[in-house]
Amino acid sequence: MSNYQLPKLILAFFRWFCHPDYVEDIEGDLVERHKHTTTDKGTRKANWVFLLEVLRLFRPGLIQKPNIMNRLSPVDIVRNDVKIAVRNLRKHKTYVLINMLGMGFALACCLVSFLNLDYKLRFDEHHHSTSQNVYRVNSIRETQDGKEAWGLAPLALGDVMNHEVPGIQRMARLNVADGIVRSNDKSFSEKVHIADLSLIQMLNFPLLFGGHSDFERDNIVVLSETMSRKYFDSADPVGEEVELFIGDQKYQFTVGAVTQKVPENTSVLFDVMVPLERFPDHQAAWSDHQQITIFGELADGVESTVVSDALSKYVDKANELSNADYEVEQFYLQPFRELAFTSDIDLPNWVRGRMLNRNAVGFLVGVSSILSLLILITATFNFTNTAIAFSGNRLKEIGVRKIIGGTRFQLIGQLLIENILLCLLSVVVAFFIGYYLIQGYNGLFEQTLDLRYVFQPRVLLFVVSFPLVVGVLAGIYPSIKISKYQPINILKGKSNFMKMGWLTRSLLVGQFVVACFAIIGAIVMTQNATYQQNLDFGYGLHRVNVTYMEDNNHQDEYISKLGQDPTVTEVAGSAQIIGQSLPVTVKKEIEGYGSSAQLLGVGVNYLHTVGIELLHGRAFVGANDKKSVLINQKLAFLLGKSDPLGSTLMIQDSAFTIIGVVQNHKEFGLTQEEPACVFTYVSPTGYNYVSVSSSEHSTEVLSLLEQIWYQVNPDQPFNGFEQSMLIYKQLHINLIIRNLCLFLAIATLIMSAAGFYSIVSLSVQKRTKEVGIRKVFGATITHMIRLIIKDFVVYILVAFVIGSALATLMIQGVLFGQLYTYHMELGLFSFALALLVMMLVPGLTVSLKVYRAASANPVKTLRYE
Amino acid sequence: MGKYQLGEFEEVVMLTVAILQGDAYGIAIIEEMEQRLDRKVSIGSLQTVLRRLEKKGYLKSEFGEATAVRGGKRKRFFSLTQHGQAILRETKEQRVGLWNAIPDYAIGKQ
Repeated sequence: MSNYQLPKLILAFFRWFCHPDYVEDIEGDLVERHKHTTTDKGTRKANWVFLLEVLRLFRPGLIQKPNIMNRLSPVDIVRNDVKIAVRNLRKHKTYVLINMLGMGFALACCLVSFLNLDYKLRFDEHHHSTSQNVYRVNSIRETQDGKEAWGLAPLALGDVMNHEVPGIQRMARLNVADGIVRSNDKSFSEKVHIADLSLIQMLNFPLLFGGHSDFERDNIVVLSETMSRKYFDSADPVGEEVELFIGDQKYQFTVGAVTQKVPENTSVLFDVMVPLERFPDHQAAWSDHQQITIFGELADGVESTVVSDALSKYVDKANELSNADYEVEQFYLQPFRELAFTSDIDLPNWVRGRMLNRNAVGFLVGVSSILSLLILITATFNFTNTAIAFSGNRLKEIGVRKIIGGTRFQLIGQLLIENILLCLLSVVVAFFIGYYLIQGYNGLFEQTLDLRYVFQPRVLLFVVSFPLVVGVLAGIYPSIKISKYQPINILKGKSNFMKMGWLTRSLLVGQFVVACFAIIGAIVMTQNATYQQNLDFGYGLHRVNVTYMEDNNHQDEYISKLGQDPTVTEVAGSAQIIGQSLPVTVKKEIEGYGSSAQLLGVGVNYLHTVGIELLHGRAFVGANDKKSVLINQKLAFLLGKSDPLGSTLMIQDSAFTIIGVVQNHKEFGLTQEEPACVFTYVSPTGYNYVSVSSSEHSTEVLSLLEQIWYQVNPDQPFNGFEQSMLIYKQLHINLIIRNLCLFLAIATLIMSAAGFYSIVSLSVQKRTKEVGIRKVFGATITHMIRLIIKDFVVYILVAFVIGSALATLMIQGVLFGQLYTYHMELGLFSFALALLVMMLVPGLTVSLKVYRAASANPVKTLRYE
Repeated sequence: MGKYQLGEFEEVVMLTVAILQGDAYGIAIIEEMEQRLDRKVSIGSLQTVLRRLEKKGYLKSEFGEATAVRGGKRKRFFSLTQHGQAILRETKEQRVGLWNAIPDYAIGKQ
């Protein structure tokens, strides 16, 4: 019987449950029986019988009695562990505080990043229930720079899709315009979506009021829930009249439906949607080169490539009749679900020119996720370090527990429960910090994350499970390490187990490097922001406020009223304002080389109003100056004329006479050098803007402007802004970088201070005896303090050198080198201040500890055995 | 009735152990019972009873030599203790007493 085999698995099961005293002979019986049955009835049958026999052996008289440990209820063990953990934590409040703040902060960062990531990854998910067959028509354009994918198509293609191309069930076009909505005696500027209303069903917008049946009519308007509240409070607005002004046209609409609020992270986020058929300029013909977004819903089973090919046949028509400076190469369909991830300008395959709501920029989401993970890792290592450092306080407990028979697993369990408890505590802290963090984040990146969003199941799952995982990860190393201590060494007092390994040390230095980098960054950016705020722009950036005018109807009245007001120093109109100049080519003669310059058409007194100083010649006086220009110093230099007054200047193809030279100004703000500028005269009918200068605070001036505007012009919304808004982005970026650096600086400082504290505590504990002996031999407290902190000062200095080198590289190379033409020079002061902070903050956290250790009574320390 | 009460299966097992006289290990007992009584007995039910009887002190056991047939496992041989023998005897007497008390016509004789 060469192939005879026992069913091993069943046998193993038997061995596992059977009472050890009975195993041998019963197993023998089983085997004997199995052999018999095999010879009589074959292996298959024998195995079955064997299994049955084994199962019948599973009875109370024969199975192994559980031993004492197993009879203890695990629930009780855990409950006691938790109780001990709570008591332990209560006893060590500093430890808890350090870790709770550090971890809480790191978790808060992770929470915000998670929300952010969730926002990005779940973009458009709301539409997915109905959008599986929905595609957008994209076009590939052949331009000077190569091929580009655009999320736009000619308006006429929509009609083609409806009538000529098979396989398309529904089509919806979408365009966006700025308009003024007036209803219920309220009037606001709104972004208006001009679309085919089939879009509402195609992309799943549930209705709050009204029904789909009216959507055929061309005079209805669909409002979002927010918009309906804004104009009609919570009443049902269906049937109400709405007036819409787009350009100089007025349209009359009736509210047809109100959509329910949808999540913000969707591509099509509209407030006011009106039917496209209503607009005469949207009556599609191929000669009209208006480009808009077109969605198509394919019939089931139709391949999108087939439709793409069918659409691409119209490429010639599109190219023939349009006057654009590109050629359309082909049209293709892009699945709606892909839209969310091709709106990123930092991705290689992004699609340009979309009119849809954009997904969060991947770069920002990525950076903030990485930053928060870094912070979390730092916090975790800190957690580990402090856990080890503070285990010194409970060595005796561990020793005793081990001696009376506590197993290592029980010890690890106890320590892990403590760590997890601590992590859960920090979740509470994380929520408080997260609340402020989200506000800051939204402020920085103009996003709409909301902490209330946390109460969604998946986020809650994250919030609860994440700390558990982190707690276990952070706790496992110290738990294993601490539980490894030999009880005999502990109880004897041989405490050489708390060595500081290279890992701990390099981690500490690493933390300080990051902290130093961030501190220097924050200091420099703060200084730079102040510097740039006070920089001479060549004109009164902060004194000027501007009003934009759609038309010239009440312009004269407005200007004269402004002139009469005592708070307004000067007032002037212009066609362009600083920051919105036009690039032109200017020449000395009709033939010859041109140089590029920026052109601003200004009215009388504009230059004086904004504060650009006249150096030679005269300013514009009135209508006689139509053929006169003013140039700035730079242009004069470029033209190579020491006395340019009276000479001719060609702008494009018309000739002008130079009547004056003005000072240079920073037309482009901080990022580019002062350009050559030329100013031409514009008569009041050409005014687009009215600028005023005032010494008062600009918010007050703006409210005054608004007040006067509505006196003169009650029907049109006021559109005024500070002149500095035009370089707002530059100033704003400055603030963003400064705030990020400040944030990182504070975070890493807190972290490293905590880490520092624990490591110094460890060192102090280790050297208790050394300090005692030295003091007996006459060392002073100062000596002792120096002895204890010597190493750490070295660490900080090393970190400072590395950190400041990195910061210099980063700031000089990237920020100042690439971003700003006009910036502050790096000074020693910033570095000195950073060093001071680096020394001071960790120093203060440990000073008491060190002082206490150094001033301890040597009798007490030496007696300790 | 006496102090000691044997179950039917217990009684049969003890009798079989007595029959086999020093050769009474698990499989042997089962085979003997299957042969004589024409009933299926599982190892599980037999072993439980054997251990119970051993615990009560009616049976005793010792290991025999290891044999290759059983995968190198030793046999455990059971035998009756003095006490066990006494119990068996008492049970038999009780049964015989009962039989004797039955009138001849009630069950019929061969």
